[in-house]
Amino acid sequence: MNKFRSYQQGKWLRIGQSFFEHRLGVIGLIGVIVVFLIAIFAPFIATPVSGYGEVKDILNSPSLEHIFGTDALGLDLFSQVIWGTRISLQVGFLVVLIAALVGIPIGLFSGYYGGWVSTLGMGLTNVFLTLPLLPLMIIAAAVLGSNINNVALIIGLFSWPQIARITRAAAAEVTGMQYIEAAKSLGIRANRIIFHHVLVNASAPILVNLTIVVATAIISESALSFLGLGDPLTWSWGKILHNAHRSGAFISSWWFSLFPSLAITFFVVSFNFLGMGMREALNPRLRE
Amino acid sequence: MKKQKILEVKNLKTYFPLKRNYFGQVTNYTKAVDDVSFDLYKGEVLGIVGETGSGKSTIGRSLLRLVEPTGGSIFYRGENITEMKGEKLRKIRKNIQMIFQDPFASLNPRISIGECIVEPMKEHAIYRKSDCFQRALMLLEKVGLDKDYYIRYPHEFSGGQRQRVGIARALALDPEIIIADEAVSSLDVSVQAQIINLFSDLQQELGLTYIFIAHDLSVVKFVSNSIIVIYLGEIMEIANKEDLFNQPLHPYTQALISAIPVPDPNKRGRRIILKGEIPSPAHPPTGCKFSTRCFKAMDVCHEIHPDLVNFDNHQVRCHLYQKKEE
Amino acid sequence: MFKVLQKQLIKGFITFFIAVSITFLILRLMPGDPTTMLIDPRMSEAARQRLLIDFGLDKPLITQYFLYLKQLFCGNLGVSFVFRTPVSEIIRERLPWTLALMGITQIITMSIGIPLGVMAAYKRGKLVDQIINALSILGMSIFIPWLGIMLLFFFGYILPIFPVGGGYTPGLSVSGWGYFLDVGMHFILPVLTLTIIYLANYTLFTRASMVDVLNEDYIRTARSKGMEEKRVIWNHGARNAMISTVTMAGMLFGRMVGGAVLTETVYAYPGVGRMIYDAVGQQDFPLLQGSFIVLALSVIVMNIVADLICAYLNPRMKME
Repeated sequence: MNKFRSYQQGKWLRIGQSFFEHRLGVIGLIGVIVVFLIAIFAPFIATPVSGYGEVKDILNSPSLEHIFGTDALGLDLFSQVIWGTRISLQVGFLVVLIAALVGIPIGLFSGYYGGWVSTLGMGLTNVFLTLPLLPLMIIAAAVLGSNINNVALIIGLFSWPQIARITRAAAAEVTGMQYIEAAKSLGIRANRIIFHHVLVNASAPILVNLTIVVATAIISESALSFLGLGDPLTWSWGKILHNAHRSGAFISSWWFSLFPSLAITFFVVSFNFLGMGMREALNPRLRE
Repeated sequence: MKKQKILEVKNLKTYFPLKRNYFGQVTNYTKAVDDVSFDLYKGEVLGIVGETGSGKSTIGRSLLRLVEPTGGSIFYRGENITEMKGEKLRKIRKNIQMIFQDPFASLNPRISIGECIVEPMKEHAIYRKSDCFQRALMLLEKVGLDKDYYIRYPHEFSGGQRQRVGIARALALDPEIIIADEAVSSLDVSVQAQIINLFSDLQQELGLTYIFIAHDLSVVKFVSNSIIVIYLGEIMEIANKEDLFNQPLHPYTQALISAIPVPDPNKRGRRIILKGEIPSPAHPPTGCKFSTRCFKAMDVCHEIHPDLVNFDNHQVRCHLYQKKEE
Repeated sequence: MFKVLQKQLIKGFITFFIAVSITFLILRLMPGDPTTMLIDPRMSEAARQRLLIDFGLDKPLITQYFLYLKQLFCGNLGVSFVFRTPVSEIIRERLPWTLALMGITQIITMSIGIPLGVMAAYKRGKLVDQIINALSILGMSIFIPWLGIMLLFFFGYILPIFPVGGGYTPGLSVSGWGYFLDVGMHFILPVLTLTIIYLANYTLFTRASMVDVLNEDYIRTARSKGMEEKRVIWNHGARNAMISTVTMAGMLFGRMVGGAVLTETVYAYPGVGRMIYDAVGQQDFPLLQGSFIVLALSVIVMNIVADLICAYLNPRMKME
């Protein structure tokens, strides 16, 4: 039997309309789309750089040939920034994946069962939310080595508490609903109730936070790369800034640091705006 | 015709903790259900009536273990279901189903009504996958809904229609007992009548046994065979329908009956109005719990808690009838 | 009140315990030779063997764990590879700088952030709110090192008002008020950098919780009673939002550590953050570990203080 969602569309239409009323959300969406497009079409926009550039090209200010200028090795910065988009998305995706895989189940179980499960889950979550995470990530990265996936793994492992906390709140609210009680009375297995009924109805705030996690993931990755802990082989924006700092030309070659920083800011702002727009659109109370 | 006892409730107690001291020990309880006992026979409709806060809904939930009873036992066809856990409990759930009060809250807004009827069948794996779908369609028809509504979502339906979906869902597992917890209270009066008629028809067709929980005696009067009157978690009176209405013994029952609107002005009696309001279940009055509002209260009522007394299948808890027990 | 303190202390202790244990795990369970984490590979063989036994690295993991804990509670944070001096001494020298930086930032952030957030929430949806919103998100998203260096560039080079980095002017021999002033001048840009970022964060959050509070029924009731608008917002609205706001301030302090690390690195500020950066570059693991533990402790203490303030503010809790 085909299940067509045409009747569902009514609800999504209203949410969509509400979303587009909110300026910031739309700006965010556009920004995110731009990021994705750049990442996908990177090969068509700029040729990737590697190795060393020409000596004559070292630290040139922006020109027609090198729109963003060149770095300390003589390599084109525009290309680096463009290709850095892919790294950022890769990191963002991995981090969100890990944060979701760990955080959502913890939050769901805490919200559904309450009691000692919740105390344990939320206690653990609060510990992580209180502690200074960057130093911890620094230690972990220093120890585990700087492979881009390791970095993403580390950031993800310290990002799950945010997701767990919001998931628990949403799950607890949904669990109090009568249709969950009905599901229990029908003898539906707890795991199915949690991962199907509760999760589906709690998904809105979770998705909002996952979007925001992408933004904070890049902030963390840039910080780690800047401090020298990033992957030496992949050139994320933070890594470019690290190169800039190390070259001592941070200030004198302003283009070296400006463009990667702008890229970071653009990325982060877009995802944050998108998340905020989503939050306003999906919150029924505020939609009055 | 020998009647088969399928449910036996003995001294059911459900208390909710109210306050905890520093060490986590509970210091005060809300006695939502306080020592309730009754039997349910196959094919009959038992009405449980009481005002809001009387604990009647909690009885229903306790029977289903949606709320854990604090004491007493519940026997379904001889098996003690009070202590059952895990898989066993899940399997028993097939036989006793509930229809909830709020038609807007009792259906998952994100799944189609067809899916929500099919889901329990799939969960319990009692029917073949292909049969589940057919059965769902059949149930939709049986409750008076168009088969095409299978793919629609709850928000597209009215309260009455959603309640029908709730009924279809409850019937999905072919239960023996259905507990209707204020199933019609949220509906418009005209719709109420339709749903109640549906209940009646289904009962006759499928041989169901009902526990019908409501606050409106007139509704209960129509469907039930026997009626329990509850006040503050205690049974005040149990009798079969005719006995209860012809000869209501407990003052509370009399007040409730007098409140039922009667169309014929000549047949109207005087309306008994109870003074005061229902006390908090956390601080029930001493003696008879009804004593603070009773229009026939005597001194002894405020002091001594009356026991349930049986007069040939008509039980009542009232000092007016405390006689030498036979 | 005392009960609350007790609870907070226990919570803080557990948090600290977990933090310390995580550090232990990270450093001991990673692949490769664990001894390189704790014993400088540049040391002589004899010294290494001695330290091996000292640290109990030849013993099973559990024993190592308890040894570690014991050392910790005696204040022994190990010996720095690079400086060859006890980590605790090094940190003791640099911690006050970082705490001062973070503390002042926190105060400024809260003083400006709360009124700003309340106002934005009150004028929700209007232009003022949208501007504050947008600016806040922008502020949150700026890369800290870049902001730091830009400020340094503008106010250190172009308009040479402030000194270019460091905590104090080396070689300057003034004391008392003169020293204070000198430090102060060096202090301003780092504080400004940190403040911009975290003020943005905090304003956003205050606004969000204020929006939630203002939607509550009791606000509507207060208004309908004809209460003066200002009183409604402050006495009823802000008071209640204050609890989550203060809690958030505690958590923000934890996140600020990350910002401090980056800021201190950029400004060559003599705090623990900068030290972490140097330690990473030189693989000085005892120093890294010690820094984290000390910072974690500071943050935990700050959170306890924040929770106590919350308890004080919360009328419901006061009555228990």
